[in-house]
Amino acid sequence: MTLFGFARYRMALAMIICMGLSNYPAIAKQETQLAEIEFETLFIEISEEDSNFTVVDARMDETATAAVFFGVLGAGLTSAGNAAHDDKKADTLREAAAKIDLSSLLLDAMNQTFASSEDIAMASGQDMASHTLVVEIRNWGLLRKNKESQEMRSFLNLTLKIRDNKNEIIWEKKRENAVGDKSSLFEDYTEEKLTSEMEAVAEKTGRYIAYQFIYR
Amino acid sequence: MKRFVILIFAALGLSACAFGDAELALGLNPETTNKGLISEASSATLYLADVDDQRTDKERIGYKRNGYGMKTADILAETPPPEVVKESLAVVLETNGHSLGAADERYALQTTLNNFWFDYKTGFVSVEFYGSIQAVLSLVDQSTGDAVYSETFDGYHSEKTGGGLKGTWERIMNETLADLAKKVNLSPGFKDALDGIASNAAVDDAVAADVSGS
Repeated sequence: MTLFGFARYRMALAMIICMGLSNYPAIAKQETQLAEIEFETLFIEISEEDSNFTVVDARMDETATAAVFFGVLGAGLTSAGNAAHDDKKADTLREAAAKIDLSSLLLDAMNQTFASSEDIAMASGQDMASHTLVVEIRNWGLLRKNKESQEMRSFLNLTLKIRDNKNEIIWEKKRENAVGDKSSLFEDYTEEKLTSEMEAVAEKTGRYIAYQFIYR
Repeated sequence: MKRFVILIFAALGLSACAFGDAELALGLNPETTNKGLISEASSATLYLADVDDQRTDKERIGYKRNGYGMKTADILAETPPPEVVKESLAVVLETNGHSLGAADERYALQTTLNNFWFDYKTGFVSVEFYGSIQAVLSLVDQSTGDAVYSETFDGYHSEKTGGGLKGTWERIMNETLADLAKKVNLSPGFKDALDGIASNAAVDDAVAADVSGS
């Protein structure tokens, strides 16, 4: 094959891929909707297996907007230099972060909210539940308010799953994101401030998750 | 050679769309908006003020990008985003049994729109689309000018698909809008504030009746 022939072959291949991608319909998964699930009893399981305390400062500048941010975090597509800069900042608060019991905060908020409604009965053990709500804590910590601001606010990034009593995942929601209402410069974050703001965002998120199920 | 020329023209034809602006039809569907926590507040009447647009970029809601991530054209909203957000809030309030009153109502819902953005990142065989909307809602007592409640809401939606054009982008942004609406709909703080408005209105009415009766 001549060089020209090879170039033509590559171009034709690229065009076929391009046409395939541009005409590829959005993947319509046959997902169960939350409203379709008939909960009899629900058990809540919180997983911290992939929990990662992080500070997102320099990495915020890599994306066009914060819209891309959570996806970038999930995919680990950030540059090493910016990630190292952010890690250095996170290190100064890591000891304080280790003392924050996000699981208990989320669980308490969810249990209290479910208890205030008679919509879904809670099971005391997984074996007694018709369904299990699995809450996976992913990234959490401090995130720049937006690209233009230097102020940070607390955030929490979770994955929610519903498992039926056959142990099959029947519903999943990735990137359940919550952000705190307050914001401050990174330098102003003490152990107390980080703790109180993370507690507030965890409590708010726990309530919000439960309300999504109650008003599904 | 002839086939090569045809391929060149076909490639140009296919990529041309990347250089034209796209306009998305955005809005919250009232039929898919359910009653939420704020329906449990006593029925309140409030003035829904125009949304204060504080977005950094007011000219567009996103960029079309080529395979290298370079901006090639704008993605626009058919209806300006502040109006889209205001209309969505009206749907949420009315679905939950609250009423929209005139500008002289004692309480006004003031909204600041900080972000309304669509973007995507192209991977090797898939594209991840993202939408993000941030709005700060404040309930203001217009008789004193005090905010009795304020909360920041972040609507977010992302999807990874094999690809997608205008229809997909519209769906992503409408899902983002629905996420924002759901968060407003399920906010305990907003519910309490609406309850407060309704009970203050009842007191105001009782006082007015008392004054006119005496």
